Amino acid sequence: MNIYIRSQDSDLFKYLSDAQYAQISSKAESIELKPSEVILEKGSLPDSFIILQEGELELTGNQYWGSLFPGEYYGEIFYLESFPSPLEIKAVKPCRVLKLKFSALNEFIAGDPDLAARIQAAVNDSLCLKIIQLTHGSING
Amino acid sequence: MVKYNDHPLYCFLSPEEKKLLQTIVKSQSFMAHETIINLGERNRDIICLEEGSVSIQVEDFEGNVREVTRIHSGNLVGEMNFIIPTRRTANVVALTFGEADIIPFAKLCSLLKEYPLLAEKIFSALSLQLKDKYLGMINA
Repeated sequence: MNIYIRSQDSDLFKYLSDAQYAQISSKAESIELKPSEVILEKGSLPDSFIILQEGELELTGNQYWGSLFPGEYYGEIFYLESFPSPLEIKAVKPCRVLKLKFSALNEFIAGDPDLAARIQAAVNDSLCLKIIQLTHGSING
Repeated sequence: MVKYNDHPLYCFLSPEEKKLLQTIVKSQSFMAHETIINLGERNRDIICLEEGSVSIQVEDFEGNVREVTRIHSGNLVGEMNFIIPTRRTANVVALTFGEADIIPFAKLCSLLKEYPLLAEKIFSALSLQLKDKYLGMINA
């Protein structure tokens, strides 16, 4: 995004200060996944961001829709509106992920529009990149 | 966040916030067949199509033009370019007479830096547009 400078490796928290990053990270749950383990089922109602720290996650629905690598995340399409996930998210390798509930994030940004805007800008960056991956044919099934 | 209407960019803005944004918005009319955006331009303005329809066109290596999609009134053009710094990736050509609100990139960035609440609301509106675009591709 144009009005903020990236300060963190994590894509969702990229525009936050070190102190803000430490504070919000502490509200997330750390989960270890084995290969083939599913962290989000297709059709379920997501209530969290899934932030990959180590390993590789695969996005599938009726076909392969891409992979997530460390620092990337999924859940941005459900952040403002709730609906069933069109995709399943599964570990390709042993993974460590953070699950951050939307409610915990909303509590963190409540009353601070600058913080909220920084998160929302990061969400938009991620959505744009996912769209570009699809339009530029890097998803080849 | 209160959603006031279904406008692709102004939906979360109060009347006062909309008035603030209008201080930088330029209204532009265009005729059928007029080129609104040229492939390769560095322009990063957001275009809100208020009336009319446009064709999004790309060219192959031999210069043949192919229509990728059509965008109708009530939608945004160029919003991804606002977020990601790339050149324009397609030509945008008017199919009909139309009117658009042009939100200049540099002025919008300045305004959003100065007013974080406006930034949160504009970014949230953009997020809904991008989410729909992504889902449209996944569900196609």
